[in-house]
Amino acid sequence: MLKFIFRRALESVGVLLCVSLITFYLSKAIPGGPFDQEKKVPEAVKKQLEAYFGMDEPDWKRYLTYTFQFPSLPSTKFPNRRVGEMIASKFPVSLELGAYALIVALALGIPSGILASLKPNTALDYVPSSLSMVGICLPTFVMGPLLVIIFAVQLRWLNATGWENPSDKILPSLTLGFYYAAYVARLTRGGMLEVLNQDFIRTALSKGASMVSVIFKHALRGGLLPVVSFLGPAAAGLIAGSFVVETVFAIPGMGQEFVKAVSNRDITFITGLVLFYASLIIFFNLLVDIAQVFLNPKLSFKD
Amino acid sequence: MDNTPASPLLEVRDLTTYFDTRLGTVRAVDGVSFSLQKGQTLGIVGESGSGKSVTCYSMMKLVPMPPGRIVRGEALFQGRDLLTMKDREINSIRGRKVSMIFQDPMTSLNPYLRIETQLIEPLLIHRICGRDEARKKALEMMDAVGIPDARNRIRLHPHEFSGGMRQRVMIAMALIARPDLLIADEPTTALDVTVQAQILELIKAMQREIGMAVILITHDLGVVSGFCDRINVMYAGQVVESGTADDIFYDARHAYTRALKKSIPSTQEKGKRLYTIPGAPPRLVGERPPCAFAPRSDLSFSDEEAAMESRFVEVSPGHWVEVHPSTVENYRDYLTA
Amino acid sequence: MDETKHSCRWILSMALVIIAVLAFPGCGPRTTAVDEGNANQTLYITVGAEPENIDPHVVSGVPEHHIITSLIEGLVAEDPRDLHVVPGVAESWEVSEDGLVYTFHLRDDAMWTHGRAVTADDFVQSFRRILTASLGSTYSYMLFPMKNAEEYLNGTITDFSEVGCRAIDDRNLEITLKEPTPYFLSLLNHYTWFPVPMDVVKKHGDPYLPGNRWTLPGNFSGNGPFKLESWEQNNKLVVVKSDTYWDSDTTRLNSIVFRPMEKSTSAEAAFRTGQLHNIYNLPQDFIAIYKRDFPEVLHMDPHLAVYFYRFNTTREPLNDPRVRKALAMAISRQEIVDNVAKAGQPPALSMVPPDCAGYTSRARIEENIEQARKLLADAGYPNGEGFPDVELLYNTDEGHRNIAEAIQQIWSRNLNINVTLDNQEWKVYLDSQRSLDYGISRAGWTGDYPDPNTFLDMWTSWSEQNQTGWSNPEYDRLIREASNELNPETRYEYFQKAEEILADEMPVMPIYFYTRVYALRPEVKGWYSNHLDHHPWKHIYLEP
Repeated sequence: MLKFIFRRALESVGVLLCVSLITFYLSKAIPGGPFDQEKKVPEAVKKQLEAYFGMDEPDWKRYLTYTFQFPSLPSTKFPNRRVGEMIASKFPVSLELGAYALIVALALGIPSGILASLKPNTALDYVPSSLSMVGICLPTFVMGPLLVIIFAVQLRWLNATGWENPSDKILPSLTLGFYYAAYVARLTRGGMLEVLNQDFIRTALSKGASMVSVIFKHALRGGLLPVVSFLGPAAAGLIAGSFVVETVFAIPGMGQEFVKAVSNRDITFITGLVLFYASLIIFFNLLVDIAQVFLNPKLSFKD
Repeated sequence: MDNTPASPLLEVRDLTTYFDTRLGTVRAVDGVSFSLQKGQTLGIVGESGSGKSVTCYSMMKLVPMPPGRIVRGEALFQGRDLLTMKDREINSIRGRKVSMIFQDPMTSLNPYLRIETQLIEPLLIHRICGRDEARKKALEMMDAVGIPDARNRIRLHPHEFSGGMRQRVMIAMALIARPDLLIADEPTTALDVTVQAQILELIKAMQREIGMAVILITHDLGVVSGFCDRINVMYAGQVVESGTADDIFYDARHAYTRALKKSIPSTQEKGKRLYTIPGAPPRLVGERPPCAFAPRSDLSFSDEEAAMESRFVEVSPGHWVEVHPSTVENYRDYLTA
Repeated sequence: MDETKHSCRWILSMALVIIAVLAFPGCGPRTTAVDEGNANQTLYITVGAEPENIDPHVVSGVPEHHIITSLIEGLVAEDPRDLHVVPGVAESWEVSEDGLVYTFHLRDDAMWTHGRAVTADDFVQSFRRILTASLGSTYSYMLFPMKNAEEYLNGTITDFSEVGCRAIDDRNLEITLKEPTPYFLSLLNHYTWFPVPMDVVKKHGDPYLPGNRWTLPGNFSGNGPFKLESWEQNNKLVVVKSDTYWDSDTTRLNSIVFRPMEKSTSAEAAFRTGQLHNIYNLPQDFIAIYKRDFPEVLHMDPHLAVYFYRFNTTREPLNDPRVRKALAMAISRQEIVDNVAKAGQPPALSMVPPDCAGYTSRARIEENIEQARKLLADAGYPNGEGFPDVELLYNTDEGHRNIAEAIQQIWSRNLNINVTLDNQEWKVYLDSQRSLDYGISRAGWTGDYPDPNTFLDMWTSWSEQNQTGWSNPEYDRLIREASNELNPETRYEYFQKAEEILADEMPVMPIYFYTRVYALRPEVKGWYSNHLDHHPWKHIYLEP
């Protein structure tokens, strides 16, 4: 397994280099700069700002600085804060929100997917599957405000915005989690249906195993494989933050920053965020691949 | 091996299972009756679609319902009707009193679990002993079914075993709780010819050791010849002939049975065309015809005769035949029975 | 398969348990932030987006204004009712006869929170800082009325002592202007003229470079009615009453909690559930509802800002003033306000909002469809025939789109011409305007200070904000004369004449004057509507 991780690390370096190059050239290409405003900025000032941020340096130098020193670089938009600091202060919030949403997604999605797979094409299937469809079709910017209207404005049970008390965390986690739960439910249903039709399920039943034991001991390992594959990029996405959920609930996470950084043309921050996010995706994909080898005995690390 | 009318281990009466599909209702098992004594071996022979497997699956309630449905009948095992049992009751029978082994060992074992885990499962489910004890028994079983180097191999996964080895594992798994009845559904069909004989030998040996009854389901008459005490021949969801091995091999009366015997490759002349039963397999959807085999029979009979109802007649002690102008020669001789 | 039913029941009961647990926090009455704030004189307020910084020399936005004015005070302050200039750090001042030299006398009890008094030199050093190009202040041009300020910024002059500000001693400051600027004292209320404590700034980095960390909590020092307690980016910024402020007796609030809200719909939900005392911008869809159901919290204040369209006068057919006038005359602004903008905005028939420091435009656009058609025909496009393709550009926003679509339709209906619509992302749109890469472009302008000049000097040939390709030497002359004129009536007359030229040549087409539509709880007192939306914090208090 260590060799596998090592090989993957080497590949990742290549991937990250490509990502950093693409980011660099794309940031150069977007029209509009970080210092553009409605009221024209005095030319002398603009020159100074560009010099301070090293924008007048040759491309190769800028590329190396941005890519390899990004944690210590000042944000182009907020120069009194460093990129590393900003990521470090916002990432934990998104991480927490993402973790809760993941828990919600799995807690809602897996059981309903299992239920739906037990009696396909009956009410037991249609109800969770339709809810699932609703979850996939309802975007978070509809679901979020909807939950706010019900639970905050009408019932007054919870706060409408914020991320301070534990109860503040419920609605955003549900909003984000419900969306992913829908996918998890569909994938679980599909995976379980496929496994439950296999011969070895019949063998298990013929040994006197109860349905519960069949589901959890025999079927789940194989049935959850599609969910596990899905979870890799999904977890990375969840943890990098959801822009919509964070803006609707006014949560100080990384998702908001990601989008704002682009509209602000905050080049150093964009570079840092992209590299950070890319590393997250690589890391979670690695975890998922390792998990798959453990779950599926037919796979080994040599693959 | 005797026919003492002691109370039978298993008694099946008029078992009928239909499948509701989009194309109509399929009469997979259409009124099957037989009985099995303790320690006896019964062979159920028939082609694909004859209902031989579905009969046993219905008994064990392993038929998916929907689309399947048991229309009527009884399956009395040790006096209790399996068909009306609640889940918990029948679970206590499966794997403990009645075990099954299946046709394809490749797909019948759980690829995600270790062999050991699957082997000890019947013991743990039925609380026969604790985990450590169960592991010991599993090793013993592996030895008993002839898997070498059991100690090391028991922790492997199914895909690391060969086909023959896997089937041995299946047998070990089915017999570890020492059941009273083993149902073997085409246990050798997916295996090499050389391995087939070994497996059958193994089942026989285990049967002698444990004293269990065996139902062997197969499409191959050759397989049952040295093995079974009694043989049921099935066609189109019904038993068409039932008797001892001698009855079937030396005194087959039903046209289908005789055609089956003719089809055994090893009994035919080398170099000549292989004999095949003319016609197509029966349609199981729609109204039940008076006799399902009539269209394929090589006997001559009139249309009026074809429309007559067939009857199940005991032509000699313990030897039953479905009698109909299209299935037996000299039909009139049987009218007096 | 009653096994399945058993599992189903188990899962359903688990679900019910989870729901019950979630509902538990709802049991019993809850005290909201607002309740708690009312009891403790803590104001929970949102001023829009998260501030970029609280350093007055490097920011340029409106949310920053609201926060900075709680922490720092300039030479003068504003009366909360009508914003007339009152003493701030300076307790009195004199102006020379020619209107060029201002002498300010600072009070001796104006203190920085880090322990020392505010001196005249603090102001001089601060002006120097913001006028140093390397700092990168994008708003430094606000100081250009000061003599040689612009030259120092560009590097034409390198000796700061030649710039028109001088600390006579610790308590007396002299500022010399380039031209008599009648609105100069109001201008001093803009944060670009605020002082910063240079000794503190120097401790946390180079004071003349961006990225100085003196504004982070723990480092910051100010001289305003409140001091900085904490700042969690994108979450909240908390200030508490400063006891060293010279007028702390007037300050009644104990603390202000600023919460940034990106989405005004979220702000509305937070307001309704008692998390905030205000909504900064009431979303347009809610206006009718609030008018009907919560009129006591709804405010619709006229704002010193104009919504208009620029014409690219270098392109056909917009290079013909008749075409431009036709376009401007052919729409009904009231119709647009009533049916599209819907926030009670006054229609704008000139570029200067009415009663701007006592000035009201005489030259107005006449909305006259017949006349518009005639002008279009005179220009060579009778009944819209042969009218070339023209594109109407706006920055991506639903409101702007709705107005653009309405005007597109009106022009089609009244003049029989077709313009196509195009929307661009903010920075791209700015770029397009600046490089004259557009046909007609939507724009908005908020006055920097209460004086008509801020709306009119944009259209001179030297203004960077012009971006229409239009220039007129007579217009230039009038604006220049006005900036040198001491007599207010004469000065306003120059503006009136300049506006006549604008109305005649129509390089830009005003549409409406903004209103600020927002919600504010009735217990917030000391808050008065005014057209700059300035609400000095020391006069605000909570009276539930």
